[in-house]
Amino acid sequence: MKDQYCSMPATIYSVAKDRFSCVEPLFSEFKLIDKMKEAVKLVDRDGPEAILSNILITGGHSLTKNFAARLRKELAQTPLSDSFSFKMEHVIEQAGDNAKFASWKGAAMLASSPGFEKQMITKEEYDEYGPNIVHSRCM
Amino acid sequence: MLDLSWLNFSDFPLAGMVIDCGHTATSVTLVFESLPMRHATQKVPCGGSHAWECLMKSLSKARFNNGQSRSIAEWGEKHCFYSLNYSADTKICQNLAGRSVSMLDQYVSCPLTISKNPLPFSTFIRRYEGTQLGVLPNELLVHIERIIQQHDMLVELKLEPNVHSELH
Repeated sequence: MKDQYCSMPATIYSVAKDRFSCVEPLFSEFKLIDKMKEAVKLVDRDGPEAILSNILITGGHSLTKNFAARLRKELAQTPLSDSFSFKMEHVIEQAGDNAKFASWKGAAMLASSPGFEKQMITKEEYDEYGPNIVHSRCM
Repeated sequence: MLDLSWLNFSDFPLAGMVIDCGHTATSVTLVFESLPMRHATQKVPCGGSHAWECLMKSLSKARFNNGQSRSIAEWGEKHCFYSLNYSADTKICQNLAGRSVSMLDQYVSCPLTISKNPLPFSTFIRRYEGTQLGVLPNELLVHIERIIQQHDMLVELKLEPNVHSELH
């Protein structure tokens, strides 16, 4: 059996570049850092310092290798707020094992909260008021 | 607004920024005094699915099987990464692409370890003639996995017609 394979040539097809180019658009094309800056611009001057000092990354895709490191690198190059003359220290934490199901868990916690039933929209209400009821009830 | 005060935030900071990288989108939410600042929430239509679609396109161009999106996502989650120096990493990859290796030396020096379970990598590897590699003996699959681990990349096997017939 060994002999059968000995004459077998193999070509390495490199997908090495695809390993990092496929995730690159989040920073290069969709400009995640710019979106973060836009979000910070929309808040009052009181909050940003406290907000920017704590950054939590979550979600299944955040578990991709080097995500936190890349974010840290981008933030070191591009400050999120021009208001601060000093260099902002961003403490970036990863949700770890919970990252993949954090949204689901949050929704489950919310759904099991005592006052949640009052916030629920029944089908009859939706049919009567339309999609706008979501904005009036939930936002 | 929904009352979230019942949640126990005592172990967490009361203010911060949450970046949620989901399957279809990535959102940036600011939290202040334990409440999300909805007016400042930003969303980017790019998530895991976007990345795996890109990966699938690349693989299909190289004649890898493109019909197994779930396997590709699993592979991507395991092997993809965010580059910390894109141009430098790209340059390294250009040097590796298309390099040919002979399986002869590596196969002979490699002890014959037989794996009972088909390797997940095999789902990405197709025979030159379009037959799935999963039908090959397990020891070859184990060997291929070693090459993949060694070179940290996928391997496409090009079987010569006479070798192909010998296998059957």
